[in-house]
Amino acid sequence: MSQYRSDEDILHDIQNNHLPHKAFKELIEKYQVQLYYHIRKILLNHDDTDDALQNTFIKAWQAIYDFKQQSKVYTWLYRIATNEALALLRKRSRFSFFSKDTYAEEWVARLESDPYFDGDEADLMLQKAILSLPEKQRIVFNMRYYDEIPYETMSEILDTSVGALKASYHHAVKKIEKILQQPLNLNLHNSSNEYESEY
Amino acid sequence: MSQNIKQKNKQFTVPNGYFEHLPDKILSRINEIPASSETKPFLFVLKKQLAFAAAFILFFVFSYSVFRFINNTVSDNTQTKSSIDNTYEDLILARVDEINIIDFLTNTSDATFNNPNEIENYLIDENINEHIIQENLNE
Repeated sequence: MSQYRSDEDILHDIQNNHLPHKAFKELIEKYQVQLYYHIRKILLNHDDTDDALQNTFIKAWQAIYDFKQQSKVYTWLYRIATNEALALLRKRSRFSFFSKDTYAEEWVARLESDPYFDGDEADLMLQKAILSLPEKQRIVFNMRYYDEIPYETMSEILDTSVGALKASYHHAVKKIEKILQQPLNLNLHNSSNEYESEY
Repeated sequence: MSQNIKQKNKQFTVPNGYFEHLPDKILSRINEIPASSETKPFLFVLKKQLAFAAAFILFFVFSYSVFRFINNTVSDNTQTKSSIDNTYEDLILARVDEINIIDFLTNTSDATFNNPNEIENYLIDENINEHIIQENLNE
């Protein structure tokens, strides 16, 4: 059973000014880990991820009084986090000296020397293959493969149809398998109810 | 997070105590945001009331405008019909000769008698003095 209250209860306290900072702290504690790993797989290094994650929660705080619950709180937070991560990624690549051809190799070299990356050779190979994907396919692959987010939830977060997401994921898997020259372990938990009950 | 998801993400590590300190770090940054954001809860409550007030005023203004519009239309229609009738009458009269009008009135007058007996009966009924009749005939 979750140690946190429901999103509706937390949101109710914030929007009705009933100890809003305390309630918002609970919201951060509830979602910080999921959002951290979501951003981390887009940006790869810890410092950038930390910046993007803090900005995500600050933007959420600034907009939370206008949040009408037309979407779920966690999909709303994921959307802000994705936008923050992509904005930082684009800003970073604007000032990067890496060419597109060497982009994946350069980042894998950085990961190898990153004190907060504890992967083995297979993990590095997988990261290199993921880095060779187009941006959208990379995000879809990460959300589906690593975080096991259901397509319906991804559709809300990325504002893309379920069909297009499935096609993106399928293409991404094929490309990665081609690069790795071996099939991926796609043992995913497909139940969306299981995912939502996590939070 | 499920064990399967944790296992897949295990290669991405974080500094010790990172998640324990992050909420307070974010809240202290939120507290540094200028005071305008702090007034949001009050504005949020006020915004609902303002929306109701604005909706009521809009409804009142709209209803009043519709009422005025309908009233003006009815009044305009009455005035227009009456002025059209007058104009039509003037137009017809301008086209008809005055002599024709006099002829029409003479022919349709109640004072027209076809039979001499009717004149006599009228004079008796009206109790008109013989002397007065004589005077009128002499004029």
